Amino acid sequence: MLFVALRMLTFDTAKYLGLIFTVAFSTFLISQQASVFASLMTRTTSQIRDVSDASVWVAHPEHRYIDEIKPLSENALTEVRGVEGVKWAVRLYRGLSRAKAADGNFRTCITMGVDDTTLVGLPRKMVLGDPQALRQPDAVFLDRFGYSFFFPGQDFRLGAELELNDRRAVVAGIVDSSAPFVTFPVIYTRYSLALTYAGQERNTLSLILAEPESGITPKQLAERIHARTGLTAMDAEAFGWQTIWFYVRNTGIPVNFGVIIAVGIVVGTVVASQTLYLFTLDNLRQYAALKAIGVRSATLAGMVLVQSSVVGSIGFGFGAAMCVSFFFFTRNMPHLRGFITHSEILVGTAALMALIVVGASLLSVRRVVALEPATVFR
Amino acid sequence: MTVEHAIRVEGVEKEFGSGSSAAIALRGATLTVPFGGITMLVGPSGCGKTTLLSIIAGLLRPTRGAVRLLGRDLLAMSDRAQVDFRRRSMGFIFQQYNLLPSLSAAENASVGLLAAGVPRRAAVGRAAALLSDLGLGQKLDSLPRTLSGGQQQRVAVARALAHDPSVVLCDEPTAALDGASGRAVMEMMAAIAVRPDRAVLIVTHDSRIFDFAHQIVQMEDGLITAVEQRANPATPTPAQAA
Repeated sequence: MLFVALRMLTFDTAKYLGLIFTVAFSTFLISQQASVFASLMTRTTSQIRDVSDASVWVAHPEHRYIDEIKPLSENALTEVRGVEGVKWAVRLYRGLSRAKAADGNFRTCITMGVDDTTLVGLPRKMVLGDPQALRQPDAVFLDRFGYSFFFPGQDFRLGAELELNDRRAVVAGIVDSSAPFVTFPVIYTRYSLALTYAGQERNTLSLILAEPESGITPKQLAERIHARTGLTAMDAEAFGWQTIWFYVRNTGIPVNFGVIIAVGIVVGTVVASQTLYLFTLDNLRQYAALKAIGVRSATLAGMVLVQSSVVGSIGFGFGAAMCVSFFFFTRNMPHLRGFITHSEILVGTAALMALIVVGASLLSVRRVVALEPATVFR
Repeated sequence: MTVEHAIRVEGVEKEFGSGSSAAIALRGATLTVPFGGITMLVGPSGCGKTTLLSIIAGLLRPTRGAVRLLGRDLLAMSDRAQVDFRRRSMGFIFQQYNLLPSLSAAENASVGLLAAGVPRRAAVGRAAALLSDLGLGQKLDSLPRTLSGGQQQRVAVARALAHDPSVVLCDEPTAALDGASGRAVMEMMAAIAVRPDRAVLIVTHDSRIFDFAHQIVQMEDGLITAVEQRANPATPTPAQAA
């Protein structure tokens, strides 16, 4: 009876497509909004994720998250280096500075000052140039979207100049860094040079990056550093989650997205369930005839479940494809950079849609099983 | 064991609802349907014909009384056993045909076989052969909406007979057809459905087809009021049977 179920499902093309797209749009709404939320939260940790050379981050005990840092004294670096198990520890500066292009175009930029000697803290991926070029006088690396902002319409080239807090900076490399939470351009330079671009404070050391010796995990080292120095130390993942939780607790972002996602779930559940149920009601007379002929209720229930499963699978496929396509085609838009479809969200959406489809099927199955076959004689 | 009657209904009563709002549809109907002929259950609208047919089909449970089909006590069977019995032993023809609009004529005629677990290819093949016997060999792949009423009812006849049932139950099979089409369908039924080991019970108030009956059972107000045996019912000519 499988082919009968499928024929019943696909016979009326308009109804069939209606069912498919109901599930597809529900899937899209839920997965797209959830992915935007997850991507937005991920963007808050972009500067942490871009540092791939160090696994432990050390910060002032009173810092809140990466965007609200209380500078450390230089002694802190010495203390950290003295902790047993620290293979190496280097300085990292993170601050904001105002950059101005030759045409007067200006923008506040995130300025990252990496260790002068080792250049630890640079993103791995260079779009143009060599990491060693950062050692040149006044050298800065600019992220590619920052370059496009300051030099619109121009091909990537090295040697372009900017003013950073009234000081000359030469673009010696273009990096492919992750998009930050706010769409500020990101500038990388040496730690010593970064201090000249920054407003002067007594303490200037934003963060310390450290790496454990072999046999010691980043988490163990972080605990040791904290125990020995009193500084806050975390592995990179924990530091990233600290930032995410700061945004979750202190902004309206999760509430707003939560409402939209909840509405998506409710609307998706109601509309998809109702559409599937109405489809079954439309076919009740056919089911009654089959039941009168001698088709078992279990077989009819199986037919309904097959129809729902097919609709759910194809609808989810379309919805997921729409979601993935959305982020694929918007990947180069600066304000949507770094927004991706998270596989975990697709898996979760699939589970949710399966739940919706099964729920709607059970309503339909209940109706079909309870159907009085004698109605065919009326 | 030899079964004397295809259908035996004794003292069947049926009430819908309860208390002061109860509606009595059958008041102790007793009926015997023999093998080898067409029995027509006739009477005015609302006299309980369809209710009695539904009870005989196992689609409704009577309030009181006994129903034996092919020698078996229908009411003693579980619901599941009734469904299986219905699928194996009964064929149905409905007033509104109740064909599945998404299936071709041959596929529609094969539904009973498919329900019995016959593989699709074999089921459709058997149904197609039967449809050809019924003069629809050129319409095997046609959808119901492209067929005339008479053609659709012939597909329904094929569906009812494809699995070779011992009892064929028909509800107003000619009511939706014009006189010529109705007569043509009945000629097909008389030629193909009537066999010594099969009983055909037709609920109808279409007097144009009474001459095909071997037995006419008159119902009125929930009771069987008369049974008329007919010695020489209309039979199809060889050409009509073909």
